[in-house]
Amino acid sequence: MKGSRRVHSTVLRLLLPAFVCIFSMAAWAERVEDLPKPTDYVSDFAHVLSPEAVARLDRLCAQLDHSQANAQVAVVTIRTLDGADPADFANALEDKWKMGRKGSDRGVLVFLAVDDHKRRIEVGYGLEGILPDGKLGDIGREMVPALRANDFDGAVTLAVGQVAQVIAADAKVSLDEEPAPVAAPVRHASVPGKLILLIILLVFFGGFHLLRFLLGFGLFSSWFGRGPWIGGGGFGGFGGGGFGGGGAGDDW
Amino acid sequence: MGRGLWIALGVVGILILAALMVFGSYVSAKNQMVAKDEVVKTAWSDVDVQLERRADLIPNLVETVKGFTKEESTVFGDIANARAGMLNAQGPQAKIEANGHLDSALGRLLLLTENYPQLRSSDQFMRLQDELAGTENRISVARKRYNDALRDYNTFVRQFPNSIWAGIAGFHENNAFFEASAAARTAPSVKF
Repeated sequence: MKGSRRVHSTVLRLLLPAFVCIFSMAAWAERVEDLPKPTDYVSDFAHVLSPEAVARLDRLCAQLDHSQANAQVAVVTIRTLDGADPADFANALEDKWKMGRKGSDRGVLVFLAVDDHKRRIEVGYGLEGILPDGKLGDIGREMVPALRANDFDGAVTLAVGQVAQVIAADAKVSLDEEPAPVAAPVRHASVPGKLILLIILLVFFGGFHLLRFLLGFGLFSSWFGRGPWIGGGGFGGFGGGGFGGGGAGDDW
Repeated sequence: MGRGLWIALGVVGILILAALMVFGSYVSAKNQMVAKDEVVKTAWSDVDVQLERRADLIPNLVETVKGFTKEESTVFGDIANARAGMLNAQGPQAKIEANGHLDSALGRLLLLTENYPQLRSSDQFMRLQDELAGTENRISVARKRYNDALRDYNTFVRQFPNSIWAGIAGFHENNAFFEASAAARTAPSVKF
């Protein structure tokens, strides 16, 4: 009995550091394969953005996604690349998430590695014409003062705003920048109408998500990410856009 | 007598079946090799487009640098030669090699710019740098896809029984892999 207990404690003593190692690696060295599936336009893995900023960015990204602009923007922050090349990381992430829709390839990635002080903005094939590397470099350099002041909300909002302006101007879409209420697109409805629509929206949204969850992805996934959704819509997954490595980035 | 005929018929039937199977295997292998070879060619043309795009950026970059440095340097001649070599090279193997020369000449040009802070902080130079870095990133993406396609093709061609059909149909192992050149991998060091 005593012997087995000793073996037990030895095993534990050996296992514990191993576990600690594994957990600390999972917490620090972020690799593309380990990142979860995106659940939103903004994936703030580094936890540097405020909820208000995320909500504001989401609203802007949803407008680009569900309008004639037809562009899908992903904002991704991580803590550290652990020595990896930011461009390689961004390329691998684009390969995995495929921002933008298949065929039109209008995807954008705004990427920050916070502890490494690396910034990068990349675009898919479909946006290379209106957002050339030099322009993306300019936008990236405009982020630097905010980044140096650790104002990540300001930096990301600025970058996404600038990119959105270019895309919207090209697609002749006007963006509603002010923080609008949830039911912004049904502004003309009367107050009770608004309320009913809101309830319907909520029921539908919750219902569809529940259905999708229950029935599995295959059946309903094609319904999502299509748009136009009833009220502009939210994040429905990225849709197969191709990237060729266009973009710019540097340190801050 | 009847029994012998049946055996003969059976043997013939089996032979025909075997021949059909062999033929089917050949046809399917050949079609797949054609498809994979096309993928490799498409992937290479993507690489080619990006290599040329970079070569096109160079005159602009050289002009900008010359405007600030106001001095003659062998670097300018070297880069012009390397660029001409790049544009004249034919076929993947030669282009990959020419690209290596261009990489090292470009590295020396960028090293030269380290001595001119005014140049480096000019908007024009920074945008050109962005374009150059973006193109290099595009080359590395296209290069990876090309190497993957080539690896897939090679694996297929070397597997049995495709290896036999590949020999007959004239599809050979292709080792024109595009490895990043040493000059591109190691950033030029700056000495003060």
